[in-house]
Amino acid sequence: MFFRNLTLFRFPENTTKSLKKIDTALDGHRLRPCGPMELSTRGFVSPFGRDSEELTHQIGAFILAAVGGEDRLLPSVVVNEELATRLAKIAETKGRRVGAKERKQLKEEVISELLPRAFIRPSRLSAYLDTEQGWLIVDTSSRKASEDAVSQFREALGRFPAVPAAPEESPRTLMTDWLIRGKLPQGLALADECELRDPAEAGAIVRCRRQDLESDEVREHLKSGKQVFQLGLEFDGRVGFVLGEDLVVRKLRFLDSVQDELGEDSAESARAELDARFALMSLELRRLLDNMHEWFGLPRPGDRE
Amino acid sequence: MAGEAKVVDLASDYLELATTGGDKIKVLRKSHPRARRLRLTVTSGGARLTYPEGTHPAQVFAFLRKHGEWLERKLDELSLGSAPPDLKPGAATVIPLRGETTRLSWRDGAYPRIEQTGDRLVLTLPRPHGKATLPAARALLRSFLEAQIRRDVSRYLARYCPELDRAPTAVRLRPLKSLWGSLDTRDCVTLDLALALAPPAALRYVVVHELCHLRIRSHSPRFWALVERLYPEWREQRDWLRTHGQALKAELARLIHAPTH
Repeated sequence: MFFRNLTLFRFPENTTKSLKKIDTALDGHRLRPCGPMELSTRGFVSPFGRDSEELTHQIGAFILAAVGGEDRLLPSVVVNEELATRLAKIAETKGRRVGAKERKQLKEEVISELLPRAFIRPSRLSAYLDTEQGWLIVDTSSRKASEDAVSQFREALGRFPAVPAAPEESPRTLMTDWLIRGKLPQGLALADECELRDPAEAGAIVRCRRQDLESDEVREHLKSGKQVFQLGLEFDGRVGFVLGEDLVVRKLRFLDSVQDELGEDSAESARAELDARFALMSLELRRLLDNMHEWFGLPRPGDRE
Repeated sequence: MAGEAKVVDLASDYLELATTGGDKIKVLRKSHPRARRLRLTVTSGGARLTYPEGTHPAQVFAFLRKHGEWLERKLDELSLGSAPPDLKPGAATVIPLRGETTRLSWRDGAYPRIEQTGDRLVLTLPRPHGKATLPAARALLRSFLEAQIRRDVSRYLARYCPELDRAPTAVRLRPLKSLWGSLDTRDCVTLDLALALAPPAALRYVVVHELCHLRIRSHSPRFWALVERLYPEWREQRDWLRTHGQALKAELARLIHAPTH
């Protein structure tokens, strides 16, 4: 259940109160099965999986939840193909061309016939709240998916003014500086991955993997004015990740020293394992987020200037 | 005295108006298929005369002559009269930054970088200067200005979002032609990059204005009351932008080469 990607949001302190009743709030917004004529549904599901009824899992100030979704898969090629066959049939049997209006009607007919037979693709997206520090962390690197999740919370809680993490210091400038000088903040080390871009419009892009970031090849790119848009990093020898200039954390993984602490006794129930993993992850990430706040300045809404 | 002004037809695109003071003003002429009447406008890109297709040139000249004095006055008012020279590697210049005059100087170094120390902005670029130097400098300036705005905006968001109980989904920065900011249907705020050159108070007004649109998506009296409640000094800032804004946009175009027309 470890998160793979992190998209960060912050919410003000006065919201914490409304989170006390989060269980009942989310209960009113459970995921409904996608109806035969519906394209998609969204709602909350249990973070423990399908056998469980609980919608949240709470450890101290951390609340884990999961947004589920069901989408009907009806590719437009399928609709168009069926439509074309019917149009051809009309042309053949009745010997006339089909006008735009009738065509539209026919298309709707085709969709309403095919939709109940279309596959349903389930999806789930985990997220957790740090009610003490005011973080909402969504396990995705896609802005659209994360916004979807936030609006689910917004709908369920009535009000939830979470802002995408907005750094005071430009991560791009800072990370470029780290790479040029080879001097990183305490606890951080370079990994073996980066994306460099010329910041001019339609500028050149260089991505490297399994590359020594302090080599001359990389330096040449920096000399020509490219800036760091994504940088592979390791924090404290415990977590590895790729940090983007939009502050999205990608490819998050816990290194061996953390995995060892978890122990091998995964023979216990899945529930206990999830509990242990969530506890470990939320504490590790709180340390990382505290440090990110120090490096980039991520003010919590509502804190006075 | 406007009657004495002389209009010269330069190439096909520009007219030149000789003023009584002896200066020459270049005016872009453009026909427009949907134009109903002759129109003289002043933007950061300079003066521009729009006319319906098929208007007789004499009519266009006469119109410009008639309004020459107004044009002169307007250019003065918006302090667009004398455009500063183009950005040139190695040539120190002066730019407005957060409403304060800042010296921009150049230095040699291995890695391109931009640094602000006190009231000086230093652009470091590798020698020898070549074809790529100016674009690199512009790109650096652009990301520097962006970082300036982001820093302020991040504080303003933290301050005003809880008060409004609404939050934008994203904040985008880019040079805008005539607007200062906008809010789209997906609640994404777009701000003009030129605001980095304006005093922070002006930026704050624009941010508050757009955030208020999250609540009220119009410019109704209710909307302005909300702006007033969050930021009582908004009128001064709006007026400041009205008088000095075009000059800022022109300045930004000079620095990062944004399209002006």
